[in-house]
Amino acid sequence: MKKIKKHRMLFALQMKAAFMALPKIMAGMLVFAVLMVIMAIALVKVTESTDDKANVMKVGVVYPQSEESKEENMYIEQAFGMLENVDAVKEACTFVNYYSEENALQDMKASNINAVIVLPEKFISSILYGENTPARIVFPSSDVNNSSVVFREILRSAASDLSSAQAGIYAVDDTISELGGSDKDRENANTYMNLRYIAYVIDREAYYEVVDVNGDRASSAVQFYTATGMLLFLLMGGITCVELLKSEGRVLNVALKRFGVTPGANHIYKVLGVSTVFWTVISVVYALVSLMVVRFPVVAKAVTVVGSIKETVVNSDGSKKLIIQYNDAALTDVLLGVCALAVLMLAVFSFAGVIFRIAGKSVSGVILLFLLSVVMMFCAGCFMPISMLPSVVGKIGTITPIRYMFDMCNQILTGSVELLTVGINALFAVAFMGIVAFMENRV
Amino acid sequence: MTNIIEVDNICKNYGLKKVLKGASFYVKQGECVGIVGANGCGKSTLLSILSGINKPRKGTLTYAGKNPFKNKGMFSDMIGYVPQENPLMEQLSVYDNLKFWYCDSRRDLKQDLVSGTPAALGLGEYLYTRVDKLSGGMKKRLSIACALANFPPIIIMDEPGASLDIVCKEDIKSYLKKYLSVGGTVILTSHEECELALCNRMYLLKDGVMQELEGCPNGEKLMEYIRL
Repeated sequence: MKKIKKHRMLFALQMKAAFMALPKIMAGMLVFAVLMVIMAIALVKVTESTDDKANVMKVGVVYPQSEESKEENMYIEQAFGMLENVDAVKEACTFVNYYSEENALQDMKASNINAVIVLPEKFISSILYGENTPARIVFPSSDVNNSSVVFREILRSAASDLSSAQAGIYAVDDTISELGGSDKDRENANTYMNLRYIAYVIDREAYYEVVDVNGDRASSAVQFYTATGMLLFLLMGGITCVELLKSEGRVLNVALKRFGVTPGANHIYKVLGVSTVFWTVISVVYALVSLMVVRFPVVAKAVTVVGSIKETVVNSDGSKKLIIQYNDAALTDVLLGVCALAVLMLAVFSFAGVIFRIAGKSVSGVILLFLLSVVMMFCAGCFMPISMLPSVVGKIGTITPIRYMFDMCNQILTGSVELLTVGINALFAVAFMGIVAFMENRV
Repeated sequence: MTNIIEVDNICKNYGLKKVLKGASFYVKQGECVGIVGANGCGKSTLLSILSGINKPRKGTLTYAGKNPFKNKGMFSDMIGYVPQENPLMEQLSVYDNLKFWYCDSRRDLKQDLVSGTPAALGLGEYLYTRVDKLSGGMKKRLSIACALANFPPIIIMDEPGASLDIVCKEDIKSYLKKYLSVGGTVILTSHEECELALCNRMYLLKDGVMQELEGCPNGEKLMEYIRL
């Protein structure tokens, strides 16, 4: 009876100690969160600027300068302008107008532009009248990258569209001739067909309704890195709790043992205390974020738990319409997520407890936890997907607990918690607490 | 007075090193007994056996005629042990530490904070201070208060005044006087003459055996005993 009283009191006091440390923990976490946000923003900026430079090609378009062609140039400029607004082209290249081939080639040599399209004299007329004088496309002999390949494919596809359309126009022309139509009929038909052709071939989006469906429960890149951030945040959170999780020291353990309280039990109470504090705070944040998903669709990019299925519909007139459909299983998913969070906290902080126990001193514990977390996260594919890592690293990753903690984070964020993952994390938590309890009891 | 503690022929080894080679002594109720000896002679080992932390390889130990190793709970009921380092939960407040050790005590913490051991040791002002923010002296006072939460009949102290200031030593000494005056029994090890002045009898632990010293020697005479 006396023992039970002591155990109950110790458990309550360890809980209290963890909650009393909450301001300190929050301050530490806030600093860490700010650092992470700054790093994330910097990373996004770097990625964006790298993307801009590496992926979007600058293509020079050299217009013919003869008097006959100058009238046509206006239509060609319009055509390229429209082409530039097509999504697939916009992401691959931008067009720069030139009126001298020499200037364009010089700029290409100076790497200011990546390719040059030299339009022939009377380009449009030649297409309309079936003469098909080809445009010359000049690429530099080096500097071939993904974008230039994409650009070639776009041109190839455009040429194919053009030839199909031309075939259709000529077929109509021939048919009208065969049926005895007048020249005027043929001319009218040609003009009408050309106009339709230009309208359809350039404004291809008119045919399609673009539908983005989010919430298919697969982890997107943003969710992947949100899960990474969440796990890193929790592991580094362990650092702020070093004083709470470290071993009590031999003298206190001996004193506890004298009164029938095993030091191992004391360690378990500490892990439970710290986990409860984090679980309380993070569950509140998680619930708030889940609600925000509905109100602020941008949050849904990272979290899709309140499993609204968000649809962005782009209509033929270019306007966008947002449709949110509520998932019937949303509430269950949130509750499951909250339970899974509890197991995740136990796994993370019992892991931190083992590290601190092995390290002995607080400072070495903090350093060891940081280094091991980062290395294990790398091996577990938290920074880069495992498929992109050498197979040996991937194999090492599968035996690290971090791998399963990361899976848990991912599943919580995407609302697809699996009992197997919860079970594995629970097993890790029990094993880690057991190891430390065994070590502590050996005083 | 009856012997409250009887130690007979206790032996203890650490690996091949024989620390205690048949130590025997007794303590009467209400006595203050000092154990002196050179560093590393086995004083702390002997006290850890007396407080039930370690078991002797050989020999017997009785408290009021009973073997505490065979009577569960006897150590915690009869002995208040104050080791050299303080067995405190650093992340908790003074009050929480006391609350833990008092939770299964016969005594009432609130009452003791007014007139009991914690009050006598001057802990009242620091109740809500975290232990890791306390000075060494205050930690020692708290350790003593925690060890005496049950108000056990025997208190064992391992160098209680080590690295404490004079005022703190004096406060602890006057508390021990009070404790002795109400029938408590004290066993302490120390290198400090002012603490040893409390003792009714003294033992010298040398070469693993106990030797009772005549009277309570101090100064040069005590040094001579230890050096010999």
